[in-house]
Amino acid sequence: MNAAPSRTLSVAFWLVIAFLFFPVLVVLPLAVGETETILFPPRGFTLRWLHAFVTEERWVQATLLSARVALAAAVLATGTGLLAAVALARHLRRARGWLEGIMVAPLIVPGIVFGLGAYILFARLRLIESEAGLVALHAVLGLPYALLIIGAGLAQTDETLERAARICGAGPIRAFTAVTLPALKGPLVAAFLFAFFVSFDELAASLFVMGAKSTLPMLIWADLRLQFNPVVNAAAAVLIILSVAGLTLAEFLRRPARANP
Amino acid sequence: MAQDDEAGTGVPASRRRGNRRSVGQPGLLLVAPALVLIVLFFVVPAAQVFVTAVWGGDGFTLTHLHRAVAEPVYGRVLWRTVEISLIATLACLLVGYPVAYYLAQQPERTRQRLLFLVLVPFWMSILVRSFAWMAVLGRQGPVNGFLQWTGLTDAPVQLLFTTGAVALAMVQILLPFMILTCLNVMLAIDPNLTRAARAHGATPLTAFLRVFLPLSAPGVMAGAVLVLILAMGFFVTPLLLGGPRNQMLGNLIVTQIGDTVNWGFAAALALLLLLATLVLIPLTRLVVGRGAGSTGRVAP
Amino acid sequence: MKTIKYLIAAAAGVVGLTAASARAQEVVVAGAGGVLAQVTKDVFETPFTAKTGIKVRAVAADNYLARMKAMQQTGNIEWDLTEATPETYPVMVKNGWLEPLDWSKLDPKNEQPASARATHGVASAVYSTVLAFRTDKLPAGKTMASWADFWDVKTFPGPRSLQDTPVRNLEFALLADGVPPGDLYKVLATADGVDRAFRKLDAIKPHVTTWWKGAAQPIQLLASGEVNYATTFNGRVSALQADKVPVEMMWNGGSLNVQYVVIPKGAKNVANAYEYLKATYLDPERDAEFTKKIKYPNLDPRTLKHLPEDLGRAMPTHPDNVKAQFTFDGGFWSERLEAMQERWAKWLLQ
Repeated sequence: MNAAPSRTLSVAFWLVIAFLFFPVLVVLPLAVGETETILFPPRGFTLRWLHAFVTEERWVQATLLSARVALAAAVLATGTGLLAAVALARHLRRARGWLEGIMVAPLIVPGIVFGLGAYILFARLRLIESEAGLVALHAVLGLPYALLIIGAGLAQTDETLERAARICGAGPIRAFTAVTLPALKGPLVAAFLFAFFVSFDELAASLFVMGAKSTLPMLIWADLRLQFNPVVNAAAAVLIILSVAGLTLAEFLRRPARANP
Repeated sequence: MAQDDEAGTGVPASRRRGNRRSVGQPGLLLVAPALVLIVLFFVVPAAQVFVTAVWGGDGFTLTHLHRAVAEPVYGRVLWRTVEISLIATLACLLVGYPVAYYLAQQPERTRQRLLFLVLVPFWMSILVRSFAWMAVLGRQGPVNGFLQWTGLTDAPVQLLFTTGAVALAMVQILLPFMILTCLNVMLAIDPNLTRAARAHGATPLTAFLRVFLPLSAPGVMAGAVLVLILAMGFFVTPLLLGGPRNQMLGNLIVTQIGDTVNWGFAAALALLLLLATLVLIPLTRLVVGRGAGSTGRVAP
Repeated sequence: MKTIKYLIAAAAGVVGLTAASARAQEVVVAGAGGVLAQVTKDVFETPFTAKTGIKVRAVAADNYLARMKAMQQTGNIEWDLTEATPETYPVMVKNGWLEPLDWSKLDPKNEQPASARATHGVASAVYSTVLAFRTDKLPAGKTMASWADFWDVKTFPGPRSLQDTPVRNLEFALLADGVPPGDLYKVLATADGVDRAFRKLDAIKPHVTTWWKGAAQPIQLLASGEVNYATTFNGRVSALQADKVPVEMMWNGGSLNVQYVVIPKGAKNVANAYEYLKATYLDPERDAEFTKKIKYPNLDPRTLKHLPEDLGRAMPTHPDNVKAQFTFDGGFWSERLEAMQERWAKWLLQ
């Protein structure tokens, strides 16, 4: 690459990052502002909202519930999505069109339609308030991402390598895990992240099938409906700070391990 | 898509087709968990609602579908939905592709760290982000403050409640989807191919246009389709940041389910949205595929 | 591994929930959640459980109508008590989704005013939809006193916001057009009356920069100075004043709305629901405690007596304020909502 275009690209990249962070940078200072409405620039300084978020039981419970459900839903979506993507790419080429259609459909159907349908089903099955039920619903919403992203990744892996491994005596599963799976690391991580965040921010279906136990978006929604509650800003601030801290810690832990193997 | 695979793997198509014997059992077994999940927790619930579009208390009916099609206001709202979705998709494509390309050029560790930055906004609920945009774009918000400070305007500009505000907020939400999808495909492209083109005398631009761009086409397509589908279903953002003309079909469906409890008509409107999306997907594939792939076919 | 665990948990959940119906002495109350749920818990639920031993399970809900309909369809009645707005109450009654109330048990001494004793609901919270305005944006020496002023864009220039619904906006338009409050629904019941209201709205439409949807929106719009005048709910204005935003509201021409607490037909714990209602919304002392935190009182005049004088004045049910407003007619709207909403959507896009 030439130096000039790559410098332009790098400037463009940081501009885009600035754009993506814009609302974040607004919310972080508001989380310590004193007013109960969003006023910019923030006035005063208080730790009340942050304190409420980390100590009030409803916020803590909701955050933990959302994290738990999102984690499980992402595992379920990525796992089943990987298997299905392999099947569609390698085995069921003829049925691929309509199978893919069904599995991508959750992306297209409006959330409230899906939520209402899920509610009617769960009411019949007595699954209302069931965490496992919500995990299944969210996994379904994450599955299209897994399928699309892993599918796109698979389309570029070299099937001949896997075949070579089989010729060398590896079983089909061994050949897949040893050859193809490592090449799919990026798509798998991306699929997992999308599925996680889709569940973590999902509102329509949760509102219908949960109630006594609220997810984080449900609490935010309830608080935004009646009035703006600055704890909502604090929630975003804490989550962002935690994730940044988590990454920094991971980097910190990884470095000494590399230094003296 | 198949053509792009071949370019990527270098395996002749005839060889691949010869290996189609493994059809059947393993495929069904692999697809079964996802299929069971989707049928049980998606097809069944969604069908329960969609069926009300044609099946009411008095049996089969076409009144809901007829009303959705015959009453021009719903078509107009649908058109606006399509319009804003296409704007958002195009913007994501133009901004997201170079970002993904930049990330693809970085060494692995750096890339991981930069990618993390792209994902940070996900921790913020879309609701909260929309409220944040309200504060940012308001008449007394920082953007207007900056414009007045630089002397570009002397009175506050109406930024909120415009199509531009909705598009901006939608792009902020959808961009990571585009970037990640494109990046995944770009990373799988063998860098030697571009290098080979350069070695044979191609300028960097030609190497990019003739080798890299066509090879990354599946990612661009997947990203564009994904973003478009997601955009069509938006309703919180246009609701908070848009004006009366930025109504999306999703808003009307919510009203029909929650306020008037006319589920049959809500289902009819949802079908309308579904059909529009299904028509747009192949169209997007075609347009994006042409744009990215046409130069590639000429490549030796 | 996790999947298997969850599958087991799911199976256990099914068994557990069927068993829950047999569990003794509880009442399931569905509400809006959020801050409201917190206040309800402190003021109503905890003292109630302490007194009666009946456990309260608070459930956050949305789309009440849709869920009520689905509950009746599936026969799985999850809730014992829930809210019905002035708009949704007539729909629920008409469709037979509610248990009729036995007022001889709820109010044996006959202390509640007649207006509070609805056939299928206890009037639980009265709130007003009012006009709020930024006092610092008013022309010097002038203040808004009527809907005609809101329509007067020459004297009161500046951006406005109204709710994105025909409900109440048609009433406001007619009031601005000179219809006396007592005749509102008589006029609106005619096609000419509806046309007249829409024509009046035509005049204000260019000055409405945004049509709000959620209750938090108009508050935010007024606070950030995005609009100078907006309709909102009376309870929210004081929060703005607490943030030192110069706002005031106008009782004149406000819409007085009565919300109900209702028992879904087929509820599992009707007797406990009665006990809960008696100890909360029907107890003026308790309701006054609730009203001190959330400014939506019941219809019982005794509730106001438990409030400090200045707080009582700020209530929508204070006799002076009642006189200034019109009583919102939910039954009128429930018959016409769908057709009006379609016309509204068309009108907005014009």
